[in-house]
Amino acid sequence: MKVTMDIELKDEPGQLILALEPVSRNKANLISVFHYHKSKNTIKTGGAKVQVQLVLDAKGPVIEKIKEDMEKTGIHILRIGEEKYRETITVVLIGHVVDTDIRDTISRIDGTGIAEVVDMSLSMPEIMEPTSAALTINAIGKEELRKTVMILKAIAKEKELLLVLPIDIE
Amino acid sequence: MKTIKASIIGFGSIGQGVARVLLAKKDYLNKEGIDIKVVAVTDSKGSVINENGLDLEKCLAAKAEKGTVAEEIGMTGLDVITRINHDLVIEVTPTNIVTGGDGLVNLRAAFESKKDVVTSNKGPLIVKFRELTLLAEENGCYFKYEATVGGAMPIINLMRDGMAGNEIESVKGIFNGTCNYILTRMYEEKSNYSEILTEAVDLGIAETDPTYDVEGIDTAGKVVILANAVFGMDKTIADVDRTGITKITYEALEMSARSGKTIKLIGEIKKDGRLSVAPRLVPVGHPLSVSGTLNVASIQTDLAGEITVTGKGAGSVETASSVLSDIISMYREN
Repeated sequence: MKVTMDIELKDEPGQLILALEPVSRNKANLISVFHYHKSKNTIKTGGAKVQVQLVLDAKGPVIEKIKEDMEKTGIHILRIGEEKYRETITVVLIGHVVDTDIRDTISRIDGTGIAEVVDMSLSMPEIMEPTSAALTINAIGKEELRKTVMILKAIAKEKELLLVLPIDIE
Repeated sequence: MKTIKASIIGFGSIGQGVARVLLAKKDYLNKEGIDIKVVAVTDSKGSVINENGLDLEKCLAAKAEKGTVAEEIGMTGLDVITRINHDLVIEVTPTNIVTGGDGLVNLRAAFESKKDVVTSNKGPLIVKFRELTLLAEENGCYFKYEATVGGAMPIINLMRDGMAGNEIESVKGIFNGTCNYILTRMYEEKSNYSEILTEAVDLGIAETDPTYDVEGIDTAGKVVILANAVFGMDKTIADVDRTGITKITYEALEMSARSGKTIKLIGEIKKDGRLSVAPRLVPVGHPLSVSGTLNVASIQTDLAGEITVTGKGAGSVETASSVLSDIISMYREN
């Protein structure tokens, strides 16, 4: 299961490595790390501390063990919860979608840990003709969806694909 | 009754449409206290002049029979503007969005000789909007250009006058009927882009060289005019992030339809200065999912919420209707 863990670290060198060590030791799959620097996303805790959000993929007991190990090293766990996708969009890509490595396109979205491609349809009328693809993507929240769209735009530019976005997306 | 001496500079489709609506709405104009006396009409061959007022029926007949109204061969629009005594220049010559073309020269000359201007010509506004508005202001001239965006669809005056007091957050819409027609027909006919483009050219909906429409340049020009005229920006075509419709496939339209969406070429202006033209997925039934050659604009405001207007984006009489409403709003105010 995919889990988000919000932790608090002292604002000192080496603290992030200390926090990631239990993740590695317990062989959990670390999907992403967000390092918050006094943004609107941080929970006010006071002192010279920073918040980090880890997204992990591991079974329940493994998550419990990571939590225990972190707490033993003095890391303060602010929140832990199974992640649910709250936002969905469908986009269209047109061009040499397959030839430019569709698997890479999908894994670059899935690899973010904040969004994943949950459905895809492809239409390849003839060889040499452009392929059209509709991708449905789930994201954790609005901000994560915005970040995913930025990644999609970069992929489309790099692979010379036409990206057609929904009207209500910036 | 206020008598306004006017010239019609350009007597193609829109110029003839202006002549027709002036004839058809003569009584209406009179009721508004306005008597428009057209003293000069110019086309590419020359001009016809009568300082006591031309018979517009005869001008239209001459154009239909001989292909020109010209009696004064070689007398240009600029000659008419600078030499003939009149109050209002109706500038409806073909547009040039790179240099502003003859339209820019005509507009400058009109203001410098203290004449009011109503135009449907996008080019001068895209290239030199600020210069022209300042020139009009310095010379105490009216300058109206509703017909430059969305043909018959009222949008500039709606936002500037009808929605005064509202802060406009963004405007997005379909501002090119040719692209809308092509995308609509591609889906209806299960056809690819090039097949429908050929149909559109045959029907006179698209130009033989359709680049200006299908690459989104025309839409970008209208986005620039709205950005400058309504949002007070100082933008040019180069400031628009632009993608056209040439890469859209039937399959993409079909896939979109399966999830209840269609693809439209959308121009967008955001108040933070971001301007874009791109194909976008629009839910079927959304106010922006209009079909065929229709234009539509959705305006997001702080007080009134979302306001959507739709109308015919091109056509002789339709575009002339915007020219007429500009004329009435200018002189009725007096």
